Amino acid sequence: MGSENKIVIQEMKTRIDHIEKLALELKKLGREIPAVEKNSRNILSAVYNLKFGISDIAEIDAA
Amino acid sequence: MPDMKVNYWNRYLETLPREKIQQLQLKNFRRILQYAKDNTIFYNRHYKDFDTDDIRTMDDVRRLPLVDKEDLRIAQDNKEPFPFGEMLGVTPEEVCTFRQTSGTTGKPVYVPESYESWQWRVEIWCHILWMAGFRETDRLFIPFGYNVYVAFWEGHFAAEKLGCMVVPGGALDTKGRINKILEVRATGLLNTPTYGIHMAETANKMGLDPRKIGIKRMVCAGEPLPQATRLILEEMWAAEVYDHIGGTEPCAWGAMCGQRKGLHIMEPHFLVEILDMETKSRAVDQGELGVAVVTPLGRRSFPMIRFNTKDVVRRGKDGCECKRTSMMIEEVAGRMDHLRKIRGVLFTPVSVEELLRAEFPEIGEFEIIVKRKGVMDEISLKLEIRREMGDQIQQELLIRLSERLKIKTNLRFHLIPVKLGELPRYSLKAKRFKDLR
Repeated sequence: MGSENKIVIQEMKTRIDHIEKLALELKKLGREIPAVEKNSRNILSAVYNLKFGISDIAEIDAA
Repeated sequence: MPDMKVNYWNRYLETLPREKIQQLQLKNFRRILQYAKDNTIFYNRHYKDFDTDDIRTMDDVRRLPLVDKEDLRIAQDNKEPFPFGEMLGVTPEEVCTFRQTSGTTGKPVYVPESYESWQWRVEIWCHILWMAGFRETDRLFIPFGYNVYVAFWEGHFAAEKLGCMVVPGGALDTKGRINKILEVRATGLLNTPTYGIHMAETANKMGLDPRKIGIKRMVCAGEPLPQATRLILEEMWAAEVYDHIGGTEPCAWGAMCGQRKGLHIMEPHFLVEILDMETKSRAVDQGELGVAVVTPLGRRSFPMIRFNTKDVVRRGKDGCECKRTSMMIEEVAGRMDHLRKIRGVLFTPVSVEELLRAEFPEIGEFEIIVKRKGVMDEISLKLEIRREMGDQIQQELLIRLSERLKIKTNLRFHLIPVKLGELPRYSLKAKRFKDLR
C-alpha cells in the first residue's frame, strides 16, 4: 500500500475514533431518551463496520 | 485496469496483500474467540482448555475443536435464555431480530442478531451486491415473502444501504411478479435459481421475452448454482447471474465478482479454512476438494467459531483478474449432508443437475429418488420433457441420458419420464433429492 493511502487510512481512523467517542458521549447524555439512545446505538453499529473495514487496517499498518 | 474508485466496496480491504489479510484474520480471530469465551456459556465450556493468547498461527487455530450444527441444536434445546440458548453472545434485550435455518437437516436453529450484528451482516451483503454490479440506479426485485430466510432479508437491507430501490415481491403469484417487474422497470433480481428459471418460463407463457424485460443482473441464493444452471439463467434473462455461498449461521462468506469465475471468500471479514473431508485437520491445496470451516470475525450476537458448514468446495487460487486479493473457491461441489453412498459409489445430486442443465435442454424439472430394492439400492430420475417429441426420439434421448449419467456418476439410473407440470415447483429451497432408504 502506498504511503499516500496509509496517510488517508490513518486520517479516517482518527475520525472514526472521534465519531465513536462522540456517539458514546451522546448515548450517555441521552440516557432515558429513547430517540437519542437508539439513534446513538445505530451510529455505533455503523462505527463498528467502519472499524472493521478501515481502522483495523490502520492498526496493522501501524504495528 | 479496473477503476479503483468504483469497482470495490472497500478498495483498501479488498486489495490488501495476502500477508496483511492473514495478519488481520488472526488478530480478529483472537478477538472474537476471547469475546465468545467471555460472553457465552457454550464457548466458555467448549474452549476452556485453550488460551486465546496462544493462538498465533493457523496451525494453532486448527487445534481448536470444530463447532457443528448439532452443537447449536444442543446449545438451544431447552436452554436459557430461551429460545437462543447458550451460544447467545449478547443480552436477550439486545436481540433485535432473529432468523432460522430452513430445517433441511433437522430441527431449525434460531440465529439471533443484535442491531450491531445485523448491520455487520448487511455490510457483507453490500460487498456482495456491489461486486455483482448493483449501484444506486438499480431497482432490485425480490420475488418472495422472505419469512425467516436470511439471504433475502440481507439482500433487501444491503440494497437499501447501497441506495438501490428495493421492491419486495411477496404476496403475488408469478405472473403478478412479472407484471410488477415490468411496472417498476426492475433491473435486478435476487432469487433461487429454480425460481429464476420458473419466472422465465412463466414470462414465455405470458407471451413475453424474459430477455427483453430489462433485468440486467441477478444474484442467486438458497440453493446450489452449478455453472451450467448459471449459464442457462444468463441466457434466459440476457443478464449477468451471480452466485454466492453462505448460510444462516455463519452469514454469506463468499461471492462472485464481475469476472464470474469462481467465488471470492469475503476476507478478512471471515476466516475460512478449506479442510480435507476425512480428518478435517489439513488445509487442502489449490484444486482440491475440501469442507469449508468458517469463522465470521465480527458477528458478536451469535459467535460461530470454526463452524463446520459441511459445504464441499474446490479451493481456488489467491486473487483474481479483478485485482481483489482474497482466496477463491473454484467450485461449490455440494454439501456433506447430500453426499450419499449408493451401491458403494459416492454420489452428489448436484452432478445430475450439472449434466441436465449443460447437455439436456429438452429436460426441465427433475427429481432424484433413492430406494432400497431387496438388498440393492435403486436410483431413479423422474424428468419432465419440455416439448412434445415422438416416441422414438424420446427413447433416443433417454438412452443418451442414461449413458451420460453412467459416465458422470458411475451409477445406472432408472429413468421415469413424467407429464409436464407433474413434478413440484419450488420458490425457496428446491427438494429434488429424496433418499427413501
